[in-house]
Amino acid sequence: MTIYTDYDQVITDYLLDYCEESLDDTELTVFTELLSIEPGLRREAQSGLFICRKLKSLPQIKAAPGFEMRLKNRMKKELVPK
Amino acid sequence: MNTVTNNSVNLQSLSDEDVMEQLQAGNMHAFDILVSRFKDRLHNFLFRYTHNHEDCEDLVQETFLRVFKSRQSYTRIAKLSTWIYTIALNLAKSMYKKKQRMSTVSMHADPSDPDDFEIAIEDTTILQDEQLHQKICVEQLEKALHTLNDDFKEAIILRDIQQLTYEEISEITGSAMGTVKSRINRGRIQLQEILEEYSLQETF
Repeated sequence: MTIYTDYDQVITDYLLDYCEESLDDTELTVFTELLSIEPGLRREAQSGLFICRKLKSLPQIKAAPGFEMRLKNRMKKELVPK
Repeated sequence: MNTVTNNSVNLQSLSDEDVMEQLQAGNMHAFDILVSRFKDRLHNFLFRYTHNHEDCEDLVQETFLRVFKSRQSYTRIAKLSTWIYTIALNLAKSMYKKKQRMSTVSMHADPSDPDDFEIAIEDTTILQDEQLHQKICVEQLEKALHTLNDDFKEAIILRDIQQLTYEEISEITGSAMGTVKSRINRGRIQLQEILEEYSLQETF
């Protein structure tokens, strides 16, 4: 897959926003037109969009119950002046 | 209303930076507020480096300990969350390097023996239930994320999982904003390529 490392910053910004689905309607129309004539960029955009959606679907990891108590116990042990 | 309750009501309505100021001034209840605000965010962040809950909790505890010990060194130039993430990221990197060194175990140290080579011991998980397709997808994605180059991985985790701004990521990683954006972009493409490889491996 071609990686466009020399892309103009504007295109990079569009690409990032496209992948995060944060382009407004006008920006999306302009960028979609560009994608239709740039197959390399289109592949990058589709990959990025797919990955962003996948990453968003990852389960949120939270602190286990009793975390505060365990932290307090550790702090008592480690912060007590010797 | 007693003082503690009064403190907790007041502290809850303050910004992170103001709560930190309270802690610096000696209000220890402020630390509890910071723990309650950041514990889940830090778990979600650090789990992507540890891949196990016990190590993750250990790192989160360590992060809070550092926050507490270094509380007087925080200045309001940076957002508190940026400062805390920077501490967490540095701890995660140290732990990751330590684990990488430990993951390769030399069984025999005889360089003259051609059959003597280092064995990389990987942590493998046996799936108990073939129907858990969603679980496999999540595991593949976590594994792919783990495979990424460190710079790409931290940029992706901070942006796509922690939803931080490019400015915050730039401060936390100490990299220019353009570099951060480029890493996120390239990291996403690499992730897709790694997942495609996994998919091909499953086909054959």
